Amino acid sequence: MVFRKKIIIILLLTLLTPIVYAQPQTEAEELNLKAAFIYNFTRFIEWDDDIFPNEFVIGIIGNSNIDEPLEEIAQSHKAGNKKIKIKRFYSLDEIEKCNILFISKNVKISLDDVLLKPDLKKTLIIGEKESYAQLGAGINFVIIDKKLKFEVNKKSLNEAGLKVSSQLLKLAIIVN
Amino acid sequence: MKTTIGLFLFYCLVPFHLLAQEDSSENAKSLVDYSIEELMNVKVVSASAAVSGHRLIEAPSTMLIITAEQIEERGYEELGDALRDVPGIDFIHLNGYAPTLIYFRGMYGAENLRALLMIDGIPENNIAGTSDMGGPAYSLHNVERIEVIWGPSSALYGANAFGGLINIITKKGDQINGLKVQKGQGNFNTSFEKAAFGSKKGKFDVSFSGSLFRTDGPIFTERTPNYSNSYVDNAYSFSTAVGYASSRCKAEIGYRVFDTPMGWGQILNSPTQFLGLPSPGNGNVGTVGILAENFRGEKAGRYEPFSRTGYMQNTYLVNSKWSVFSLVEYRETGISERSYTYITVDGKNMYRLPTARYCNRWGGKVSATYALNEMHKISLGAEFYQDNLEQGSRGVQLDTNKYIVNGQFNVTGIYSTFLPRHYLIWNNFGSFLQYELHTKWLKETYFTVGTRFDINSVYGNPLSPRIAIVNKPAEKITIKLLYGAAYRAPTITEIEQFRSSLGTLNSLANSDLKPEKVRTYEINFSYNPIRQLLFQVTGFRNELSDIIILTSLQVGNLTQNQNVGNAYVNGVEAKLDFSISKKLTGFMNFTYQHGKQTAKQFERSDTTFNIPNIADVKGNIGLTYRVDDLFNISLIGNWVGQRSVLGSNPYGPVDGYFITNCAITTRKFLQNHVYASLTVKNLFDVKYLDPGARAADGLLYSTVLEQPGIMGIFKIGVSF
Repeated sequence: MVFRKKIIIILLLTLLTPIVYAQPQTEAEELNLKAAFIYNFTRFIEWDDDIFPNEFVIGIIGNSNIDEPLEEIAQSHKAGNKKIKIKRFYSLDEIEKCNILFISKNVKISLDDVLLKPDLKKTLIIGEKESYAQLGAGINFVIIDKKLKFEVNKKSLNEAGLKVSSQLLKLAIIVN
Repeated sequence: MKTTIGLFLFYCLVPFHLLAQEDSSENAKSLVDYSIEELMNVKVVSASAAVSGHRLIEAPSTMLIITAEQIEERGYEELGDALRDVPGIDFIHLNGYAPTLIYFRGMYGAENLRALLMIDGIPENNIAGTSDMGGPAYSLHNVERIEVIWGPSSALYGANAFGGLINIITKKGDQINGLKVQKGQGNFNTSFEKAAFGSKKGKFDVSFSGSLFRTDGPIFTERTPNYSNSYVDNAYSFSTAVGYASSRCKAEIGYRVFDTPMGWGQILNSPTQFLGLPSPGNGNVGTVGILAENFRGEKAGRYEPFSRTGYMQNTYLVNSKWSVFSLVEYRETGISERSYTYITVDGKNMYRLPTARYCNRWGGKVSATYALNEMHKISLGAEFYQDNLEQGSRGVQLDTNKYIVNGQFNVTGIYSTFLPRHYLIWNNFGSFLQYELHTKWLKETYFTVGTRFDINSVYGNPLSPRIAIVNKPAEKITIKLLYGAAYRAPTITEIEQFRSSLGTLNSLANSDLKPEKVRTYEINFSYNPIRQLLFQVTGFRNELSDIIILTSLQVGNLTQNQNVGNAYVNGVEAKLDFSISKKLTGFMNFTYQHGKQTAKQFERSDTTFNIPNIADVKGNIGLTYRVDDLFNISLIGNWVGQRSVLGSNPYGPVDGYFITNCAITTRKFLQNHVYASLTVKNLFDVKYLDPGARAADGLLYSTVLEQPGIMGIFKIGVSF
């Protein structure tokens, strides 16, 4: 019984302590964060208007549920003045021209094969797998100390003809 | 029983009551208005369990991941804490020695040898095949995640990946990113200190981690009035790793050690009758066994398993299609020379018996993976290791002088010394091949076919194939058909027979002893209708053959280990992970299993019996509620149904139980540097028992094992 009383006292102390000292910290689920990052990238990168004059296409390859938060964003936001369209692809052959291609980490397709697709010459390739930026993806997400960061391969972005704001590059982890 | 049903209903109803209060559907939209700098400061919550589970749906096995966040939120301090909340595992808590026996999917027997424990992909099981696995030295404070795989994995990992595999993935320097220190204090004088330091500079990554744990309990006074045999005396761990990562290669060199000095717990009876003490009850006779009270100013006994591992590994990305992995390892495991027991068979003459063992292994592995194109992926590899195995417990030069202690006992063996170590060398070469095919058949279907072939210098050449077919007929549905075979290697003790520190007993060696084998058939269905909900159900059948059983021979009152057992276990596991909002997540799981074993009895007819000591039904239910910027509270219930016991156990079936564990963890305060947590196990102080292990006859081996009531740990964590 004495021990139970002690437990109750400690429990109360544990509950009370943070009321005095707690610092607010924003949290978000990984996919929501990645979707918000992807949308933000559209504000700092310029694409060739020739790809799609009236819409901005974000493609997804691999089994990721990132389409759900991206669809939410697309319903209420535009990329510049263009309507955002989300497309899902299920194989290499299905991949079509798009402004951004997000390659999910569980995809079973070689990155080399994606990079070699002629339709994707002007596409920003975004990955979430270790070493993807080094291997040629324009941007790659990494988690460091529970925070989402992004790596940038400047050479890949230049080759795709994408103009990237220096403001974005300052925040990126440059891999080459 | 009413309380149990009430608690179960409470847990079931609470999430749906709270469902009406929470909604996070605008989460993604609200983040859009953040700047990139602000987004980079948002803490990633690994998602709900449902989201983390989603990534595993396509894996060619039934598996689950326990994330670092879940470890923190649910108050898991050591491996056993985390495993108790997953489906399909039965436990016998010995509260000392081992210290917990775990059995995957109803495969009772062989005391922790039918599961493979790995740390960062390197086996951690005791090389000699003793029962110790996990325990308080295996602190989870520097763990990034725990992967639990049900079913055979010998096709990739070889021996002992039999009923299941547990792979602990530790945090690297960049994941620790600074210095983190924890101090905990609990009842039974339990206390611990834990620390981790990690840093990444350029291409180099370095990490250090250590823990120290001690306790005087739990204390089972019903067993013997001054019980002190479940203590832990400064169990410690230390690990370090230095990594180098470039665009093409990722190399790491590391070292880790775990040492767990503890009491022998309750597996063996205490000779209370000879000591003039009350009966230990529960059908335990109290005439034979080991002391469970302090004696001669020292603990009644000490069992101190240790494990040390040094390794170097490298993954080289030749290009996006080719990668090569290589590993060199050196390991040492054993029982420290500081281990001993006190034993009496007549209450007058007492023996102090030291025990020790040491084994080592060196070896390496090379594997290559080639992704031909989007459809085809091939992995192949080879592994060699050489074991230096001590033959049984080390021999002892017994101090035959008799010392009178407490004016009552003649004690022999106080100053015994160890004799030279005797050992054998075993070699093992394994090669494996795996092919993965991704097709559009039935919308989307993955095929995985693999096999491993081992050549062992002692017990033969086991072949371990596996086939997995994973079909996604619809976006939200996954169906898996899995088949796998695996083996459990016979230990040197089983082949050579038991050899005590005082010499061999009347048992015969069996050089023809073969590995135990299992074939497992599984069908798994996953339904993931929305991101916040994942439902999985798995049906399985395990067929075990060549089970190793210590068998009485017809002549000379001798025994010998022989491959005379067969068994099967059928079962169903259901699991639901849900995330009602970013504030409230939870899980429920339920397991049904039933198995029978047959043992050949030579010239008599075979005997068939229900596999003992496993619960036919069991389940877990847990909720984690996050109160914004203040604290998280996790409430988890563990329900275990009635367990039948061995025919030799006079106690009879052991009643089921429902216990509740609670963890409260504050968010970090004082500029995100300090947090506190309170973990309470068995919150409602439920009295329950585990069945005894081995013969559990009430003579030498305990019929049942009393389990601790309410236990609490208060912890402060500081990070810099």
